[in-house]
Amino acid sequence: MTAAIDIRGVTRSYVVKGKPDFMALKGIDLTIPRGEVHALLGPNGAGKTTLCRILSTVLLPTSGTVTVLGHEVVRDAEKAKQCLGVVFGGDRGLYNRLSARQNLNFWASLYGLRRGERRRRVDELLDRMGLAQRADERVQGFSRGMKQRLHLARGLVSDPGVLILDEPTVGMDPVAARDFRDLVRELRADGRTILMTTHDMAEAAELSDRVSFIDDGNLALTESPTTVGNIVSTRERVDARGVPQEVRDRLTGLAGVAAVSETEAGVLRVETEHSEATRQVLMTIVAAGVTDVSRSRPSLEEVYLHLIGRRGMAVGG
Amino acid sequence: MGIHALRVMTAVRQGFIVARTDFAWFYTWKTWLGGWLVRVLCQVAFYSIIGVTVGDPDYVVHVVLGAALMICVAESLMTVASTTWDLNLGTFPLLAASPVVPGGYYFGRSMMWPLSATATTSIAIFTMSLFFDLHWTAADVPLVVVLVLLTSFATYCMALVIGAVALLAPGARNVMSAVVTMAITAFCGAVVPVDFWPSGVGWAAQAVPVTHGLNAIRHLESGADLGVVARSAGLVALVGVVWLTVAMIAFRGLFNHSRRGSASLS
Repeated sequence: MTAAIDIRGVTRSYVVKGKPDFMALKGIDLTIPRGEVHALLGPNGAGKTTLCRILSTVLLPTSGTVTVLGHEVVRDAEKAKQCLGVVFGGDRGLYNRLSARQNLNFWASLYGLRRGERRRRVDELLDRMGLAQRADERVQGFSRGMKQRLHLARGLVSDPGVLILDEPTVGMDPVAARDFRDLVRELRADGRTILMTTHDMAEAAELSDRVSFIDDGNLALTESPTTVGNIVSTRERVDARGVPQEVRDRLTGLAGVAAVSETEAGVLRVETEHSEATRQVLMTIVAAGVTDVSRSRPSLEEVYLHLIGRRGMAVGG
Repeated sequence: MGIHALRVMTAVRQGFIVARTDFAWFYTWKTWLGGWLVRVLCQVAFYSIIGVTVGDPDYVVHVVLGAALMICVAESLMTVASTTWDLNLGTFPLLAASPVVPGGYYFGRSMMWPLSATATTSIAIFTMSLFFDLHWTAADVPLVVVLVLLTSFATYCMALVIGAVALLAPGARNVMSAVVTMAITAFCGAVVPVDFWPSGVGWAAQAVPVTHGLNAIRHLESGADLGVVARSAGLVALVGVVWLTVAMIAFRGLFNHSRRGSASLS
């Protein structure tokens, strides 16, 4: 069966005046089977949005090929567009002076839905997104969560097989984000293929079948959230408070200690490569009279930090 | 009707729905009549009074019609700004990702301006005619409205091309429309006859719809043969179609340009 999304050797460079070309993507290979929810994780400027824009036919790759449900997005863009729903995050992308219904009618018409079908589809989506009660109100009075639900409805208006969600929950309050995740779960149950970019590790772990880590235009890893956890499960972590400086120095020198750092909350964090090293670290800390000690496995967020580095706030290149 | 023609019609219709909503946001009937129209009439009256001070009745007619038609130009050129609004709304990349016919959408997107321009200019012509002794027969009235409508839409097509350029430099959109309005006012026969300028300027003015629109309405007012009026009207339509063709190509080219990664369009 054809993959829903097939990305082969995709690069994308930008011309920057007076500087060498900036490579936003440096040869991405990724295949996403039909029905999969796939999360794309990475710091700002890693290339996630560039990849989404290429997939959604908005941007041309410099080299490589991308197919969506068998349609190549450069040569066969018109057919690819019919299979794709695109939802960019944030407040923008809606006609604020139109009502929710008018917005959906607008896009449904452009995607070629005939009157009866359009009416049925728009009503169904408004109902599904919980917007039916306010369907005829101007969008400018909507909350961010309501706007994002309308964005999702807009992305679904042509009943696409593949949905691209670029930072869909950015800026949402926790309740709106939870509601939005419930909607994505429903879409997954429909059998749609969803590619979403996010900074929210919990969201990625909760919703996706597989996650890909992208950094500096390269794909660092693609696995299921559970497998990713297992890959790094040999790494362990010991957190402790009130550890004297001389003990910290000794911990750094212990065999099997990968890193010693201090969190923003002032907790000493020791990462170890195996259980024996963890035992040695615990013994050293306890022997120094420290009792506020805990041990744990890394979360997906820490895996992200381990793979990508602590550059989440930095803009790459 | 072919599938492509249907898609073009759909794009125009949907663009027009957005245009209509935007216009209703700017103006109520009261603010359009009491604000915009009054301002327009004052402007035309101002230029017309200058014509009176010159002391030549023919020049008064020349200036009244010239000043009134400049309103049609200025209002149609508001298209330059409204063409860029999708960049601010963030809908431009979504349009690029959709199967829209770009030229069709943009043709509908700012259509409120030539329609409003037709109303304001027609009202200005007939109102000022009462005060500045211009004469129209009953049969002339619908012809004037049709000529103004034609000139507004032809100017609108020209404004769409400038709007397409403004999409690449949205910060300069108001400067573009101001400079073009000024150049048209100066060189296309609104106040100063076209043949006053060097022949090169006169030739350039032939590419501007209002040059021919002014000729058509002035011929009509002077009681010239309808064939002469029709010839000028035909030139308005011809120039408008050329601008529309360029606009369609320009918007298609812009969407392709945005796919190559234009910073201003992303």
